[in-house]
Parts: sequence; C-alpha cells; structure tokens
Amino acid sequence: MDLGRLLAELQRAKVEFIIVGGVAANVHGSVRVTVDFDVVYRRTPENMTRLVEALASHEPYLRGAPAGLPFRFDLRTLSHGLNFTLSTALGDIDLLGEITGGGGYDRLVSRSTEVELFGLPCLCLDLDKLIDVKRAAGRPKDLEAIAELEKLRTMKG
Amino acid sequence: MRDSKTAEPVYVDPVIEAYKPGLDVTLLRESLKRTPHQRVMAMLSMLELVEEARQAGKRAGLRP
Repeated sequence: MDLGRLLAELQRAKVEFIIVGGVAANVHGSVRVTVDFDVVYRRTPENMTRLVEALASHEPYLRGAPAGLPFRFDLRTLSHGLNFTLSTALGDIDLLGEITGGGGYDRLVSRSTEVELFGLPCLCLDLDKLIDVKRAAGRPKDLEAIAELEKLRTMKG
Repeated sequence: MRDSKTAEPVYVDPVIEAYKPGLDVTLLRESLKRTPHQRVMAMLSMLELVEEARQAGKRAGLRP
C-alpha cells in the first residue's frame, strides 16, 4: 500500500475525507497491521468529482470482483452508490459515504482531529468516535481491536 | 479530554474486557511515544514484512 501517494493524490485534488478504520487506529496508537485504507468522503457532487479526479488514473476496480466487469469509476457510479471497496494501483481503499454508528462526513467532521501524515494535514476520526463506530459495526474481528483502543484511551488519560 | 462533569459514563462491555489481559501494553506504550506519522510508518513497515513473508511462503510452495 502506497499510503503516502494515496494521501497526496487525495490532497492534491482537494478531496474532503476523514480517515477511519485501521489506519485511524494506528494514528491513535494501535499496533495492529491493516491492509486497506478506509475513508469517509463528503457526498457532494463537487467532492465526488474531486475524488474521481484523484483516483481515476490509478486503476480503481471493485476489489475481489471478477476481472473484466464494465466498472467505471466516475461521478455517475459514485452518485448511485455509497460505499465502495476498491483496489487501485496505489493499494486498497474503501470509500465510505456513511459508516454504521457514525453517519456521513458532515456528521463525523466534528468528531475528527487533524493530524499530519506524510507531511500532509489530514482529518482522522477521534479515538472515542472510532471506538463507538467499531462497536456499532458489531464485527467479531473488531473485538480485540476495540479492547486495544480502549486500553489506549485509558493510557492517554 | 473528557469533561468529568458532563461526559456520559463509559460503557464497560464484559466481552471487550475479556480481551484486555492479552494486550501487549509494552508495545502500546512504545507506540504512544511516537508521532501519528511515525505510528503509521511503523505499521507500513510491518505490512511490508508480512507481504515479504507471504511471498517467501509462496516461493517455497507452502502457500497457494
């Protein structure tokens, strides 16, 4: 995963997004390894246009889908969908219009914090909200991750 | 920081609590000494190592 390039492309196109999921957990101190990059993107036509501009040249495709499907990563596709799990030449990225227990960008932005990654200012879901949404997702694979995040919250005081 | 006068009490889930004794607090303590960027870089280094191990397993015929 070329996370630096992915972030740089999103920033260059001025995409409004919030880092969530495993990378957000790492930002807060988690030591768990994650193989994809989850972001909540703002679902305005302008922002979705910028998202297309940022990623279209990096071979976005539906992750795990059979090769050769007529998938087009464009504004029309984004507008008619919500959450997209994609592979790209820069690594896997999950583009989330909404997340369980958190809603969309406009609801989450007040629960995010600015951090610097690869020299770029990025919004990242705050630790309390990250724990909330992981709980809300109710996935057994997240149980240990939630325990770790709660421990980090205690350690940070 | 939580405001102790107004914040809701933190929900304690016994299932989550059951996972906590297995956590390596030493690793977490070291992680908290790093900047967010350094933490992400450490994860990416580990990811690279995992991928290299996967490829080595494939080359040795241990993985499909």
